[in-house]
Amino acid sequence: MSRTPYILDRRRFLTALGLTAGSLCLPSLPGRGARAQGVDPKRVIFYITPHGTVPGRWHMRQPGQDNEEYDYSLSGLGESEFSDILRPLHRHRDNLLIVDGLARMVTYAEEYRIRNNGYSGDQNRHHMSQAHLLTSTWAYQGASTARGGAQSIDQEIGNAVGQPGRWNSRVYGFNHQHAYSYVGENQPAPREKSPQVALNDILGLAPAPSNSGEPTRDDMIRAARASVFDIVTEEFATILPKLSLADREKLERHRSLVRDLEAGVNLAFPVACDSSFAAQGHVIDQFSRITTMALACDLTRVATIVTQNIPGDEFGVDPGIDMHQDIAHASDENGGTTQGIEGMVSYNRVYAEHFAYLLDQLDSVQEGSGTLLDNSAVVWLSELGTGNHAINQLPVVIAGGGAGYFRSGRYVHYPRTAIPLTYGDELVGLAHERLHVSLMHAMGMTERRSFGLEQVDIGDRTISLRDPLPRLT
Amino acid sequence: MLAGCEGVIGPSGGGPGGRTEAFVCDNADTIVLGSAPARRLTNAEYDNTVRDLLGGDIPRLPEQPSDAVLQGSFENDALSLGPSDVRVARYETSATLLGAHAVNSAPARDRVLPCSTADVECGRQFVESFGKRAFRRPLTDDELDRWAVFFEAQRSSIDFDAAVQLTIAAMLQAPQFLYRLENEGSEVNADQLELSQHELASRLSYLLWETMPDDELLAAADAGDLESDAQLEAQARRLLTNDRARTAVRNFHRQWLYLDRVLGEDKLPELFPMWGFRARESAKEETLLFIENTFLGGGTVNDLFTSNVAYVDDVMAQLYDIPSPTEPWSQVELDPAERAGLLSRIAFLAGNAHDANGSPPLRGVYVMERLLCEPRPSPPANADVSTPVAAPNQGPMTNRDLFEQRVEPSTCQGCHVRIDGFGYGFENYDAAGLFRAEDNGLPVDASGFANGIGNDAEYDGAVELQNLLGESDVVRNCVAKQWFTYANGRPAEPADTCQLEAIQETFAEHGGNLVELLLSIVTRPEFRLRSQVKV
Repeated sequence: MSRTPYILDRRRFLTALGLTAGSLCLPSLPGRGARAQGVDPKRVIFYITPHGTVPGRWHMRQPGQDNEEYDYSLSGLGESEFSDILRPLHRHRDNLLIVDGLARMVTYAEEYRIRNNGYSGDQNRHHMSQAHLLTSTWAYQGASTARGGAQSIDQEIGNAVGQPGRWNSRVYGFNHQHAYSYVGENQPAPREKSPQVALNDILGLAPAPSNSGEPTRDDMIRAARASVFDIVTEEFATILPKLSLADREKLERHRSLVRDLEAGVNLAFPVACDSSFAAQGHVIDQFSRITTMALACDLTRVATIVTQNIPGDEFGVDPGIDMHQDIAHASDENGGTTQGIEGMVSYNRVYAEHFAYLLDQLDSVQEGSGTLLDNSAVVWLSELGTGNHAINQLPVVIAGGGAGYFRSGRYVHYPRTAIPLTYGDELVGLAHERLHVSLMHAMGMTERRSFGLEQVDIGDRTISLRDPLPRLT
Repeated sequence: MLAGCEGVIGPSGGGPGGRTEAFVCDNADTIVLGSAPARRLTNAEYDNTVRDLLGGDIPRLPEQPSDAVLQGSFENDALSLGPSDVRVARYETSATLLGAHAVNSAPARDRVLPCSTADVECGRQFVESFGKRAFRRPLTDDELDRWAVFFEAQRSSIDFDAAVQLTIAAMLQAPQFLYRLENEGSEVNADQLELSQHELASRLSYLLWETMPDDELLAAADAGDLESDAQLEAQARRLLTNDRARTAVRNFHRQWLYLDRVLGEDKLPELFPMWGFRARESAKEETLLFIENTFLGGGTVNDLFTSNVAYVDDVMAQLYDIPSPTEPWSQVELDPAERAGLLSRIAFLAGNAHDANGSPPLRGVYVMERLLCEPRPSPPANADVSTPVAAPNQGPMTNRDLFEQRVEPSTCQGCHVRIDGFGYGFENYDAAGLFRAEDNGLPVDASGFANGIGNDAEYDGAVELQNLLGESDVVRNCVAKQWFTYANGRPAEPADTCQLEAIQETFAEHGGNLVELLLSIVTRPEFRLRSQVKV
């Protein structure tokens, strides 16, 4: 396997091929998008698993402080002191923020208004949670089920920090039922489920030349890609003046997207960037490696990995057992079955192992005096809090320092208060939605005070979704 | 005036400032044109077009993001056909793969290369002949020069095949290929352009085939043989005999009649053990086969609502409670007392129901929105739209009893008299569309009153209701309006009023014959025209 780092410079490459610029109509190359000297970009990765967790086997609370807001350092903890589910993350403990006590308020609020205020809609907690998790706003209920009602946080951040010639964001993996990432109301973001196609998409932005001295015919055809972009944008230029204003705007946008692609051909890879990839191992790990490569080579700065619903034989139960009915639904710590609870614990521990693998990959890429992991915020979210569809004890882990924004290596606990629901009071902590505000701040979008809804009403309580979460920085 | 022409459009369809304009035809003799936005090829049109352009076994292309569908419209609505970063990048990937395919596949090579000398002259011939098919019109002199220079640059620095490959990859990313641009027309007056023959050929083939014109249609355009309406109609009739028209007719109805809905329908397994993935797929296919054969077999709107002919596989035979056919999709006749017309088929009935019971409101709203072309009514914010269940102290009730109880308040009646006047007609069919004479041990009452269809009347059961709908002017006009929307890639506008009324009248004169409807759309004077671009 080749591991030679390389720098792609279109002009130099063409010169090396002995092609004359004149015959290729090289345009003046745009200078935008280049990375500021010496500053590594900030990145964010969402890692999303299905079905929630087993809170009593996930959390690492200090005894007797359930009503306190507190945090403590993870540094001194031994591996056995980590919870059953989070134990695989022990080796990364100095890079973790384990966030305990968040509740998804938009889901409560939408349920409340459907049950009490005459709104219609799908109340399935899976569907609602998948619609709300990354959008933090009312679901789109027009398709006889709940789907994302607005642009999701990954897309929002991607559009803010993306650069021409590179993907603003990428979505990899699976749907648990519906999509998590949306470009707009009821419009799922493009998601790639094949690692090979994902890799092609990424490398399509900057194809590698062969490393031998003499360029091959394939190299020359690849190099001519730039000339193809040139003539395509030229064709747009001849057509645009003939169009109506609305059509011109649409095709102008198309042309600028072609130009962005073209700009990508000319962007240099960081010298240290390793673009090799082998389609081996678990599909989740393959996506983790593609994501690491894409981030290391600065081909995107935002990625969402939606893990597959792993089959029973991967977490030690009979593959014939119905994961949803017999494990997740039976995993309540008070009323569930031993098979359900223990199955759910090992189900989550396997996801923790895959998450730790992702962190290993990110941590192996040197950037400046630190690593890619230091410059990233890697967020593990689940659609739900528990297999019984709770949304008030959501398991949240933020790994990586977010380029200095997060103060990592700590366990953070938020106290809980009661909100009135139709089935009785429910104890909730702070709004999970504020995590997205924290992430925006970590990514430099510090002017933002909220994402999605700014507040929701549940019964007589008004709950603010504004401002970053406390104690993370 | 015809009922379908009345009404106003709101801010979304109005001009600047959201003013509303009435749909009134002032003078049927003047030709007024609506807008003609540039339309990107839909995903289906793109796939069909590269298949026909290149030939051979097309390589697997990266999947494009789905075409966003606006509420109540079609995938080919120009408003939703925009570019995105993923789309543009995948166009490049696809174009690159297709360029390589064209030189590496022998049938594709034969299809795209007019000569074999591999020299400058052959390159120019290739650019001219392939360019014309890719852009669906002859290249302009400037275009020919630009592309010939591009080709020669690649040929001289790499080789002939590489130049073919790269030229194809570039042309497939050019706006002339990806968008249906109509800017070659000749001026008729200050407001109107007459389309070129090639632009007209594209309008025709993308409407009837969802793909580029074939060689015969392109040759007719070359020769100016689409000048007369008779010539255009002859081409349209030829196109309609091809299987590509079948696919296009299916695709239109799949979208118009929400036939994908049934694919997402879960039913309670305790009640409907036979309802699974295959049942959903088969239900959709059964309705599509019925429509396609009715439509292209010379059928009318009335036939769509009254015919008991069906094409069934073993799954559908079981659901319709008839003997299994010897081979899948054999033609049968269903019991005309239970199953006649589109709306007594499982795809509609199960697709517009809950998981345990049929939904009169969902089915009624579907009739109003899809078949009468009325805006979708929506419940007020304080309406209880959960599935009604009987209170513990009540005796046995039918599904209808429960819904009638739910909408009893006078505030509900304003809308529900109308909605349920259609919806109750389907009470003989349960959540999976199975026929039932009894519901919860009580006899089914499927009587109702069809209101606002022109021939308003009482009826009993879905067969009688569909007899009324099949005779309704409002329904027939709506069918014409749906096709008009699809043909123009946008909703009808006030400026279209006279044209739409004329199409609807012709449709009525032909007894609602569906093929005649398409022929009348393509032979309208407006089909040859577009509005001038105000630069």
